[in-house]
Order: sequence, then structure tokens, then C-alpha cells
Amino acid sequence: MDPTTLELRLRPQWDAVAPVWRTCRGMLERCGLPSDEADSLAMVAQELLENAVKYGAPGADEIRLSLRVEEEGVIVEVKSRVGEDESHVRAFGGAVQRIRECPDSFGAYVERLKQAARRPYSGGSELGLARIAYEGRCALEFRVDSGYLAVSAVYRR
Amino acid sequence: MVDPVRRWMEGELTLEAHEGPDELRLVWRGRSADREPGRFLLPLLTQHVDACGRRGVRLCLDFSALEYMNSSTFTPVVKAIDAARRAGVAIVLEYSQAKKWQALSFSALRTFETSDGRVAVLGR
Repeated sequence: MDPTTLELRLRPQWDAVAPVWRTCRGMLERCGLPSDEADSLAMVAQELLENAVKYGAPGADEIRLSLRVEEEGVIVEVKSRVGEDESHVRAFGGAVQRIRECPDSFGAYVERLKQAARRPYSGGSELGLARIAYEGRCALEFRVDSGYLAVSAVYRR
Repeated sequence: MVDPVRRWMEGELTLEAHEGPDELRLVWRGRSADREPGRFLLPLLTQHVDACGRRGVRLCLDFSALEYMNSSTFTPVVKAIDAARRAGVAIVLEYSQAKKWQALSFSALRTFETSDGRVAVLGR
């Protein structure tokens, strides 16, 4: 078993993904990452998994998580089944694009916090994606491949 | 012996209320990773904002012992800040500067600070 890679197949349910933060954090620390980096990258994995559960296709079979530690950085990827309704994928792509285009990840995060304070309590705030870019210092990428939405967060040391 | 500290638990998250002469301190412990944390937190935080308004004391949300919180947890927190500001209740958010994730996340919340100090975000 390669200690620098963690691959999990999870039920697309909240109770299945909730404990994964601890699993990821443990693996990252065993790979020699400082605890601060392990904290933030475990958060990145958790946020991507939570997004996949919240917005994934109803009745989907599983969510796949891949966490890979490389010399130059860490790659977190979450794959989830795309439903027949493509509006979610379009909305998600737009959200990723807005985060990617923002040159100031701190400013983007603060703006989402302000929006969260003003809006009625609901999901879809983009706060998790903004947090991945700011707190996790990750670049977000996504692609649709063979009926799966694959979202990657790439951290470069 | 009566325990003077009141506690609320939801999943892996525990909130403890410590009442002092000048403040009501809500200490957050464990992990906040619920799907909809606002269902538990919003009524609880609103109740404490109201209680602080009636008693004329400040509300301190102490996150320094918290291990993890998901992004969904920030929404009820910023809504509590907004509710306190509107009600004229002083509110302080305390976090641990030793925990980098807290230093990053909570420094962003300084955007809600007011110049009169009624909304403050403090690292310690």
C-alpha cells in the first residue's frame, strides 16, 4: 500500500463523509506534513466531500476521494455522479470560475462571509469553495468525465 | 453539587455557557461538522444574544478549544454577529492564534468589527 496516497469510496451520505477529516489528517501527518498543513488540507477534503453529498445526483452509488502527497504538493480530488439535471454542474462550474478568477482569495472569502450574513439561511453560499482557495491555499479545477464530476484542489508548497 | 456550567451537544460539538458578572461566555469544543449546523446553532446563539441584551453584558464566543468547523458553521456565527449588532449587544469572538486554521478563518471575520469595539475578533 502506497502511504502517500489515500483512496476512499464512500456512501453519498453525511454520516459516511463526516469522519473523513480525521482520516485525511492522520494520513497527511504520517506523510510528514506539519500539523497546520494537515489541518488545512483535511479541511479541503472535507469541504469537497460535503459539497458532493449536498449537490450530488440523488441515488448516486458512491463518492470517490483521492488524496495524494507529492514532492511539490498535495492533490485532493473528489468524484461524484452527475445527475440528469445539468443545472447543478453549470452552477458549480460558475462558482469555481468565480473563485479562480478572483486574484485575492482573502477578499473573495470575506465577500462570501458578508453575503452569508445578509442572506436567508441556506446553502449555495460558495463559502466552502472560497475557504478552500483562501485557507487551504489551493487552486480549484473541475471536469466532467464519464458521468462523474471530478473536483480537484491542488496545493503547491 | 450543582454544575454551574450549562452545556449543549450536537454531534461532536459541545457548547458550554459560563456566566460572569460582565459577560456570558460560550465555549465551543470538539468539531462542528453537521450538514445544517444552523438548525442547532441559530436558535441557541439568538437566545444568548437576547439574554445578554436583557442582562446588559457582552457575549463572548470562545472558539479557542475548537478542533474543526466546516464552512456551513460560519453562517450562523456571522448571523449571530449581525443579530448582536442590531440589538446593541457587545459581542467578542475569541480564537487561538496558535492554530493556523483559526488564525486564518477568524482573521477574515474581522471584517465585521466595529470601530466602537462592540463587535471584536480577538486572537489569544
